Amino acid sequence: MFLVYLIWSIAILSRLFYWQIIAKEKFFSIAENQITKIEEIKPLRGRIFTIDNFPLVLNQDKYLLYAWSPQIEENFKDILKKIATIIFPSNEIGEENEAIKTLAENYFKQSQKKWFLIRRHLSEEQKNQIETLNIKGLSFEKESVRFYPEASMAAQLIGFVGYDEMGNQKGYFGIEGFYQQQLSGFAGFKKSSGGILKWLDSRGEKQFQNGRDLFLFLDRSIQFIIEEELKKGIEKYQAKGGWVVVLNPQEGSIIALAAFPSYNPEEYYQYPYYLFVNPVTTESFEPGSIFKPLIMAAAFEEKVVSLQTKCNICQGPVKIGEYEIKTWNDIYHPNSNMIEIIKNSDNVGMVFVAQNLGLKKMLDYFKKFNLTEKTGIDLQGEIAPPTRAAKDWSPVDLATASFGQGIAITPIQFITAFNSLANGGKIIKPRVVEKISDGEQSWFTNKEIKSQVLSFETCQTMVQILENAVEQGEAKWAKPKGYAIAGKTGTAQIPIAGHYAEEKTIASFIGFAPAENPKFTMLVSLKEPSTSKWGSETAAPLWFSIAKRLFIYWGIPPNGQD
Amino acid sequence: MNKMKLFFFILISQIIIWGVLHNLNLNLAVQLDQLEEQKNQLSDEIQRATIKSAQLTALNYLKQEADRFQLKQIDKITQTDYSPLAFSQDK
Repeated sequence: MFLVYLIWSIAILSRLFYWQIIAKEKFFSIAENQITKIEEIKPLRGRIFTIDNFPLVLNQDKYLLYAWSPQIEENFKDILKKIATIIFPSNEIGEENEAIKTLAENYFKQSQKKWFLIRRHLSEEQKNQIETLNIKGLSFEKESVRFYPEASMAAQLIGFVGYDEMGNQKGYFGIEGFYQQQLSGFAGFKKSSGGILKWLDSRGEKQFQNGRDLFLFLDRSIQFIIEEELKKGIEKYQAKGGWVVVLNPQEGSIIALAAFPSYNPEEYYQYPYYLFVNPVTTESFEPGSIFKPLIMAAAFEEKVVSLQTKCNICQGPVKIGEYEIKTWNDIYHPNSNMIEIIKNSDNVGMVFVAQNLGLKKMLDYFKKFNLTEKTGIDLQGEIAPPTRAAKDWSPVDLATASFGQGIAITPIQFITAFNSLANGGKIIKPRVVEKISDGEQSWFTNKEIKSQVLSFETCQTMVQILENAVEQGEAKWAKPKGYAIAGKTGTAQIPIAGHYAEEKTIASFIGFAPAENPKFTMLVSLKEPSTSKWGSETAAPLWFSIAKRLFIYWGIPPNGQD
Repeated sequence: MNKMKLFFFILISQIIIWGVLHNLNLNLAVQLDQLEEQKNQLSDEIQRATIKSAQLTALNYLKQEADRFQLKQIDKITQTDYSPLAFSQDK
């Protein structure tokens, strides 16, 4: 009896010795895991608002569904079939089956991993439905995702939020990409026990910081107007795409910016990559005749021409080397003055102006107009097309550049340069974000005047010329009556494989209004319109129909012209 | 003997003070936990309400509603019939 008692005691003591001494660390860590957690506190991404305080981008809670394989008791494919109608609410059986097949294959391929992602972005309702099925091994993680009340409004300006290689949220393109650091905030962690114990034991905390909110210069109503009109215009003129940019002339702030085709940032993964890129900041194009006012303004500024100067080569096509330069309609206007050259959009007249200006001065003005470098707009992905060195320019290049062919710039570079005519000669860095706020403190972005490129007198002369171009030019039929508008049409041929395609054009209109005290500068471009290739018959009427709505929106009264 | 008494008196006092403070601490922790729970619930409600309000004030939604009520854009209004003044009569 004593022997049995002794053996039993030794067995108990040995076991206690094993638990308390030998396996101490192992059990300690298990216990630690049960009562103490290191909890990562993910910050909320900053929201984005329009200038009138309406939300463009908010956050909402969604759920990530995952499988924890050690607890899975049924066949994984059977589980997927049970939840298929909940997680794929598209009701398209074919798609569902394909998705289930792929998920099941991936699950078995990655069987060494215990955690397996099934689907992201499930709603609370979907989560509740799955929970009622009571399937062991399925769990949810709460995740904050972007919500866009205005759907795809300003998508290419805003960008979208995807994931990096570590599975963390990251902003791509536009504002989301440019302000990634401000919007994302900083994650924190908390080493704490569960329940009320966390209040008694908060060892090793790192404070988190939510992302900052951005307030844009964007006016939601104007953005809506330009998107609606641009869509209508693309349909009406059967164009392949287009863009509209509305700029505040004095501030350089972007009031609205739209480009089509576009995408829905909430479901960015369903769209091709090229749609994410904002053509206004990343597409190089040959501006065509809308470029003429810049060259003429440079010539006025350098006093190589005046309003009374007559073109002495305008009587017919001009020959430069082996090339012959004609007007767009093959009609010639001998002895045209500067007003008439812009009114008639006369290529030969512009060659005359450029020859008077000279290559060196013209290239200097390209620099002064900020056409050789990025504008510095606060959008991710801006490019500046490469420029040729002065020694690579031939006389014919000088001639074609005068009417906007043979040079490549981005739409944002162009509107920034053209805007100088509206604001008294200043090149102002374009801005999208007005202020950044963390709820307590706000930081305002500053207006940056890059240079004073033109004098006030030159600008006044150009306003007179551009007003006349609208009143008397090709697009006069579409102009809203009673308003003074300064603008210029343009039709640029698109270079394809080193040659210009005759029928493929980018039709544009750029202008500002009211001409004497502009409230906005706006660029409208349509890519490859089919009903007519001319800017005066497509982009100009579209510009005027948008302007008409802007006049009403801002309450700008007609000045009694016409 | 007096020193022993004093020692035990101080010891017992400290235990009582510790007990009271620990109890207060626990009460506070329970309250904080409840408050955090409430805060989370309220944050969820605020988020839902913000999203609902954003949906109801979205321009696309307002446009749909305007179409449903057959409202006209101001620049499309060419007849005086649309003006409230059209319904006023001279007396």
